[in-house]
Amino acid sequence: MIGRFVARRAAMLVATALVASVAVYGALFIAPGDPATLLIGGGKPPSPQLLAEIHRQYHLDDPFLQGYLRWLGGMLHGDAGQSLTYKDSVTHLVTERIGNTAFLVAYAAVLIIVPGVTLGTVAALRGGFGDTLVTVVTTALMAVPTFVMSVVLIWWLSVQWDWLPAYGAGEGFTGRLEHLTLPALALATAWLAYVAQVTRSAVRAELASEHVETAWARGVPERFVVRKHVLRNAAGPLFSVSGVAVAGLIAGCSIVEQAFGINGIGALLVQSAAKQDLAVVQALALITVVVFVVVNTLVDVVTAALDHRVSLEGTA
Amino acid sequence: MHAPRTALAVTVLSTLLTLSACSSGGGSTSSSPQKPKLTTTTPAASGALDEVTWNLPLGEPTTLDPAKVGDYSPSTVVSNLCDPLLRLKADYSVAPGLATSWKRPDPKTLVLELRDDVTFWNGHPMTAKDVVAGLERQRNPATQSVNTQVLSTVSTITATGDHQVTVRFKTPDELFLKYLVNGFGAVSEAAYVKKAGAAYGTAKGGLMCTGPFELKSWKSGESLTAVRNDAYWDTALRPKAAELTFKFITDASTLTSALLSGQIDGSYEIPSTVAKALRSSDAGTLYYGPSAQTVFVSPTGPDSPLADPRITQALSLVLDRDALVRNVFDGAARKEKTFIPSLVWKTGEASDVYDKGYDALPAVPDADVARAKKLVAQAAPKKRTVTVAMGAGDQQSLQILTFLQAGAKKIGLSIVIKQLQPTQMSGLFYDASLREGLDATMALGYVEIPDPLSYAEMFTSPASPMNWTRYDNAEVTSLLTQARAALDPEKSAELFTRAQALYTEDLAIVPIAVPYERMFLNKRLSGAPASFAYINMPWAAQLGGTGEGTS
Repeated sequence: MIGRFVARRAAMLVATALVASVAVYGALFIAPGDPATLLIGGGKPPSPQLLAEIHRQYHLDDPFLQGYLRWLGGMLHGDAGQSLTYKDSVTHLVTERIGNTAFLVAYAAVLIIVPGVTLGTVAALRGGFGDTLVTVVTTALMAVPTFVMSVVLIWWLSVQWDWLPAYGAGEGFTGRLEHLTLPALALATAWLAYVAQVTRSAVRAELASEHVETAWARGVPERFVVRKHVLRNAAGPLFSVSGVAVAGLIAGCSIVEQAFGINGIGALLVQSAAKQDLAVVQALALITVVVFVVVNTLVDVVTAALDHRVSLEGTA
Repeated sequence: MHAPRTALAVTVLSTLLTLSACSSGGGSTSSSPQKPKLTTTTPAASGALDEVTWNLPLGEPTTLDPAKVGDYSPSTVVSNLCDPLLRLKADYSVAPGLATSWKRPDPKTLVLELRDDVTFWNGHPMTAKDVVAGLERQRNPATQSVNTQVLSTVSTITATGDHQVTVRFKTPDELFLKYLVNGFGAVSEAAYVKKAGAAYGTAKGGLMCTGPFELKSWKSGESLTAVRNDAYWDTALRPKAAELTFKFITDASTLTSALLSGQIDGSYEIPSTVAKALRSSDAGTLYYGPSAQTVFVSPTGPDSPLADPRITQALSLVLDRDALVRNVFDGAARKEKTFIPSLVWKTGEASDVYDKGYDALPAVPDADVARAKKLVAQAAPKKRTVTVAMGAGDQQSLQILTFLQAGAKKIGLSIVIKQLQPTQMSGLFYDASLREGLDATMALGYVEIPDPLSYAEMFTSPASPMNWTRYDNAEVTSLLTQARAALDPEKSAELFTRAQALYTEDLAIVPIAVPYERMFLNKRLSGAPASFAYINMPWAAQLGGTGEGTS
């Protein structure tokens, strides 16, 4: 069953990627503007000949279908193309940056899931003032957009207190840990609140369920009830929401990487999209689609494994 | 699915961060400096430095090939790596560089004598062959040189000695020599360039020049590093800094934090919002220097209401330039009589002639709504709504246009501000179809050579691709053509000022202001020029330690 499920998901992934690539290519194709003009710049009188030469060398005047098929043909041969603005192969641009982004996403995921689940569980189990506090704080945090959080964190922890660096990705594991703490925090905040709230309501729902009440009534020890009956059954929705959060982080990276000057693929996407650097935007869009689908597939598989009532057939 | 609002925020990101930068440095309480002190240089440095981290606020260069360099970021870097034949000094005057002297045996011949003691970073000697190959290469369209049009008057370039180059012209051209101060005149090793091919000047292809710093590594998206050239031929300019690293922070808020916390040592082209936070900082000094940058509003087509010079004059009369300089530029700009900044001729050979010509121009008008209304009534434009383009997210342009909007309202004109994406904005300067639906555009530019002629030709010559309103004044064109052919500086200046007096009357353009250069230096270093001339001079070679601060 799992084999068929993965095969169906893989076919869906290819179809989604194809549709996404046509959409991205089309969007950039009809967007007004001339990417070649950005290469000339500032202090020089414009030269139409130079522009024509750049257009010729980078096939910028190709009709839509011809241009798309050229790109697709390259992709099938493992060549993601050349960046217009970076004058480098897209593969090289992406491989150089993906490490930073992966580190940032993983770091932020840990910062979301560990405290999110803990806070949500504590709030649901303890109730009272703790519950109110967690609910109020997380609701407030959920409303803070990532870019505002970035500015606040930089100003507070970097400029005022000089505890952590204000920009850059750092090198090596400790260097990255130091440099990416603020960005990961900024990225994690809104999602952390989200995960905490979902955890809280999932645990609450389980607490009110009949089998838990029965367990209480039978005098099963609290520790045991919480672990075996409450948390285990609340794990399904928790896992789904965490998966969505991690997939969402990949999109959120663009903002944080720009704000903290991190050389990752999110920042690359923002810069390349603004410069209509088609080959780069295409490659990054595909990577995002693939990662999104893979993460969601993993979440579905694990949810099904946790709860046998969930059928993989139905979720595809 | 309840994903947080991340994707949508991207578009407003830069705008909001720029706004928030005002309050992030704690400097917003101090009042705006009414008249910042202008300085061409900063105090000479004494000590050596291990490393300097510098920022390029306009982003990562796309190439360092001197033939393709024509913008802030690449020029800021290349000017320290590749020596040109002539050198621009901090006051915008010209001095010998790799060429020690030059003479003109006849009006159509230029002979350049080269230094014979210069080697490239790899130790190979620099010869006339390298110079000839470098100039010839820029004639080939496949090179994609941004300087091809400079060579339009040239017939042959030959090595007439091991260290002598002779250039023959079809018609005499006084501008050619002045263009040698930038990437056009930069000398690369011919053999290396040939081997690198199209990759020359990229992270992969590298560079081979003679400058005070040598390109060491370029990690795309991350940084660009250059190391000191210990064998630099100009002993007076052997760098005090062993290593120079460039970062590419474009976000105003991030730049502010990085400069305040000392993670970045300095930067040219500090935006107004960042300047407000840095002005009162004790992390370093914000310097103001003279600049050859200019800001103006230009009509985009002959059918634009602004194509009528009476309308642009009317707008000039209702624009409150003093308030604009104070609020938009944080005081760091001045109003000038034309759109060509005076720095480009101020220190040249015939500066007194240019000066006289400038003095004779009508003064920048004070606000005069009645006169402006009269001009509009005379012009009787068919359209009273004017759509003006600007780069999306550019706070400075937005504020300037808001000022213009307020003024225009008083004379019955309504200005619609249209924010364009980067490729659209840069594209409209080249492509007429992208100017459709627009009436005017914000223009931010600079004059990189010490001569106003090329910039004037760009807007007035009927053949120029920037002459969008089909301005055609035969006398102006003739005077400018003569000025270009006049090799005597006084005569050339005289002809130019006569043309200037004419086109200032009838060329439709709204000069806004001439911004000052703003540079920030961490307190631990000093020595870099504060003037805009940095863009074409080895500014980092003068950077050194002050002995203060350690961050």
